[in-house]
Amino acid sequence: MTDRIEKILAVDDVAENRDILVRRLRRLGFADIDQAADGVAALDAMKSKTYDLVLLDIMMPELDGFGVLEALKRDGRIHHIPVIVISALSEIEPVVRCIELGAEDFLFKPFNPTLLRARVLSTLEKKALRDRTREELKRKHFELNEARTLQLSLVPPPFSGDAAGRRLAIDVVLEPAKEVGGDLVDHFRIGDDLVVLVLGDVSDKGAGAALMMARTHAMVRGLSARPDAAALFREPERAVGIVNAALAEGNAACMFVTFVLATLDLATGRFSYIRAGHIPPFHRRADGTVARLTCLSGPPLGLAETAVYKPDAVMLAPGDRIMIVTDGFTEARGADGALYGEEKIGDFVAGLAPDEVAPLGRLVETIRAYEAGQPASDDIAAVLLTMEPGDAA
Amino acid sequence: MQIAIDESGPTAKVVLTGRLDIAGAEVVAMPLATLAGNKDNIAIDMSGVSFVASIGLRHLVATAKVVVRRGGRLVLVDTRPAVAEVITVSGLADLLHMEQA
Repeated sequence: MTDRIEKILAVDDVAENRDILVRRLRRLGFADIDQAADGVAALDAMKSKTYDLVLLDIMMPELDGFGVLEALKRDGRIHHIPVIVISALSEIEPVVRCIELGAEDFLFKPFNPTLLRARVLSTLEKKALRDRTREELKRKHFELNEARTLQLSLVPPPFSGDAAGRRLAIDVVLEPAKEVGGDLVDHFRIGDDLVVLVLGDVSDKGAGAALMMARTHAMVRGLSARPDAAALFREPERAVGIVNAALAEGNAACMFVTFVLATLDLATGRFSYIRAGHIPPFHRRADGTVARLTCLSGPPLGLAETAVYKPDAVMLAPGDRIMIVTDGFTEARGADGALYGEEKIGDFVAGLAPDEVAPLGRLVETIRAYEAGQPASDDIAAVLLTMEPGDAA
Repeated sequence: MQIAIDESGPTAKVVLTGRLDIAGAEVVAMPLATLAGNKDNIAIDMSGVSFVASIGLRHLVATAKVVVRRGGRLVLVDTRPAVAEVITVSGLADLLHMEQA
């Protein structure tokens, strides 16, 4: 006989019934079988031992089968301990009531050994499957949350302060739609004079996109650590070309990254950028007008290994702002199904008060309110650079 | 999303109808991949495609790349303006040639 390790509790007030049951179970290979003569004793036994299956008689003194099931239902244990109720052939109603109270299945006595075997084994199999699935989900969720923490830690905090003689502020936000996502946002300094902004959107969501995002992030940062980084990023098309070639190699799944890389030279105010298939950034000038940086430099990253990117540049003056967003903002769906749209983002940037340098949290709240409680449909990421009026203190 | 394929002529004719979103992309993935392996010239009638998400674009792009690598050609025919704009703004217009019938 196969040795089964499951722990079973047999509950019946008639000793002879318990004996027959225990004998039958032993023949099926079960060795760990406890007995209880009434509902109180059963609940007592369940306090100190976690059973994989309880075979429960209905009519018992002290506390009957209904009472035991009610107790298990009250503290939620009914969801983890399968109960097969045992009833005399003539009692259908009590069985129905037990099933409604959460019993998994039923058996009539006198036992038919074949039916006993079938019910016991199938109930245990169901429980094993349920337990495994629950464990698996818990583990996956934990892993994904760990990954989320890591991914969010890739985003540097907002900056506000003096930079090479100018007052500069950079606000940044990243919110994956699921635990991890494919939106990328980064900003860093090279030397004293250069500020680099990075924003990307991988053509997917979830774990695969997050991996692509992390690769892209790491490659850009790797380039920024090169001794010739300043020269490289002053011509952002070169940096983007290198990253693109690396991503396009062996990319059979054709995952692509729409991308904006921009370098601001604080000494001159020159803002040079590459827009690889991404939503054109917003340029708000000190006079309140908003223009779009529309130069299409080339295809999204990862598709054409030999793509050559065309740069463009604008001059920034104190009081100017640059806002770059991913389409999680512009394609957020309202309750009526309408998209939030690029125009509203433009209005948001245009309407910023001069001293408001970290408004992205407020923008995210606006989007969430617009989505009206629906789950986020896409990752969102944004970076806002503000060259504050006046010189550094 | 529905896909209809006519492989009888030298150019395979594909007709897509519906939304090329996550669910739609799943419908077209296998047929497009198989077709890309067999045919050098593919024309996709896009007049019935109302929406395209980046996952959908990925499949179109993947199909185009396979075909182009063999010296073939993929064209999107009669793409709706909103969809055409997404493709253009995403910088994919070079890979996904768009034509009017």
